[in-house]
Amino acid sequence: MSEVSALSQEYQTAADLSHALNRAVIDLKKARLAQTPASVPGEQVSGQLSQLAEILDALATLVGSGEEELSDLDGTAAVKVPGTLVAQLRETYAGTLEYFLEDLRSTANRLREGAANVTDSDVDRLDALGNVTAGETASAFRRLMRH
Amino acid sequence: MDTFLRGFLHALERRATVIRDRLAAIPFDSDLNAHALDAYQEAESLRREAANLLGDPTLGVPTLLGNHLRVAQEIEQRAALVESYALPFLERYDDRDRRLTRLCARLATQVAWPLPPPLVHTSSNQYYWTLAKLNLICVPAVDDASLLRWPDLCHELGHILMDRHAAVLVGPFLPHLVAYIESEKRRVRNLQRPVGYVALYDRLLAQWLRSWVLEFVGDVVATYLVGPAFGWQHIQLCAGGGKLVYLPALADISTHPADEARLRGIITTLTAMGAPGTPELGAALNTYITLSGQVLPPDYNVCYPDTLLSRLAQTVVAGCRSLGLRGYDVIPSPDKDVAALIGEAWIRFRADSASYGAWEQVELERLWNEILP
Repeated sequence: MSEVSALSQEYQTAADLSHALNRAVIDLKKARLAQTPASVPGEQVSGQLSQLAEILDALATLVGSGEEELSDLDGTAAVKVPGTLVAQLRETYAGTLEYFLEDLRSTANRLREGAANVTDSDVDRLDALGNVTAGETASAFRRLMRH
Repeated sequence: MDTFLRGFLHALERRATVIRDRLAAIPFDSDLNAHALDAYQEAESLRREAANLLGDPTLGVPTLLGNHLRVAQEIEQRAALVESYALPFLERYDDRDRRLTRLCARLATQVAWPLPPPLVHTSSNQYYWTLAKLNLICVPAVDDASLLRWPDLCHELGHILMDRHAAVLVGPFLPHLVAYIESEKRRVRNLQRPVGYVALYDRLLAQWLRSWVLEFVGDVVATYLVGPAFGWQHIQLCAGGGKLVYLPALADISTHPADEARLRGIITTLTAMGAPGTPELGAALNTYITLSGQVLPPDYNVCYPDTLLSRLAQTVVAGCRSLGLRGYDVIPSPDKDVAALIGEAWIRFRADSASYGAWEQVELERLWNEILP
């Protein structure tokens, strides 16, 4: 009934997505660091990327909410998308939303195909999205702890 | 930044160790054991994550520095939650907490709750709230002395259920929500609404996704568990708190949806469960609205259309049933049943509030003697 319940859930949803994005980016970057002892085998990275791809697809649909795509919205993945992130991305990419969504969906497709198909641009895109999500997480966390 | 990050991680490792050791020092208590273990494991996990990152040979690699900083920030936030909530709840657990924790455990058993029962603490200065991830509920200090606000305990349980089973409870609803907002935006494109409304509809969707769905789910789950009693408690909370029941409307921002819409959601849930009509609930809220001189703001109904509330109630009720949760409508025997007791309390309170206090006192004494002899 108090705001704490809603804020804690808002924080948690953002934190979970932020964690998934950051984990994926770290593994992808490590895999690219040739000769690095901590580099991660491509297959291992690929194994954890398909779930992230589902979330990115749901995010793209929620941000774009084009009528033709709504029937494809995966509710299971959509519940993992923070509402604040949807609003933030719509605002940030207002003028270039179509391009942003196209890039996001392409990245999701390549994640699904495996780490070997992920490009440097995909990693940068995921990293940037991870930054925005981490910002949303920190914002929700600060509001939660103020209560 | 590299040096800073290493120092930050060392500090986090040390802090997680302190939290972990304080949790380990809590004397054995059957009510607390599972919660203390969960919190201990979280603290130890945080300590290890900090230590592992410190030992990671890529720590300090420029391209990964920002990502590793984010890992450290995540550890910091999670440690703060355990330190600020789980640890003090566990260390300061007293007999009032014990009563409500055991009450909640009894309710959980009776309704076939699909999760471990939460720890309940009686130290809230903000009415009822929950930290779903930590399975903690906090309630006002004297709520072991009255039955009437316990429906709100069920609302908080709904938050915890949502945290673990969101896909089951609302997954099928979200496409309808997004489609509805899109249909309203189409009206703008068809020049049936001012162009500026697009931003308002975007904001409306964000609020639904951010927290309104969560609050409505809490309401539906509470209604599912205790029936009309939750509706009556909701109205008492509105009237007693002098709430403006039509806010937030289209241009407003709030973590909670409007109380008038929430009551419609409650009534819709009762209908979805096959209950006979409950016109008294709507009439009671309308009386309060009239007495307090509140009027419907412009575009209010756009925010909370009946079709959307009905769809959500049906989806959540179906989700509760698929999880095997027992509804208020199928209580096998009212004897010692917490949900039945809450329902009876509201029936008696509404029938004769003057004699209610004496009845409630007898019932509470009996209940606490059973729960905490």
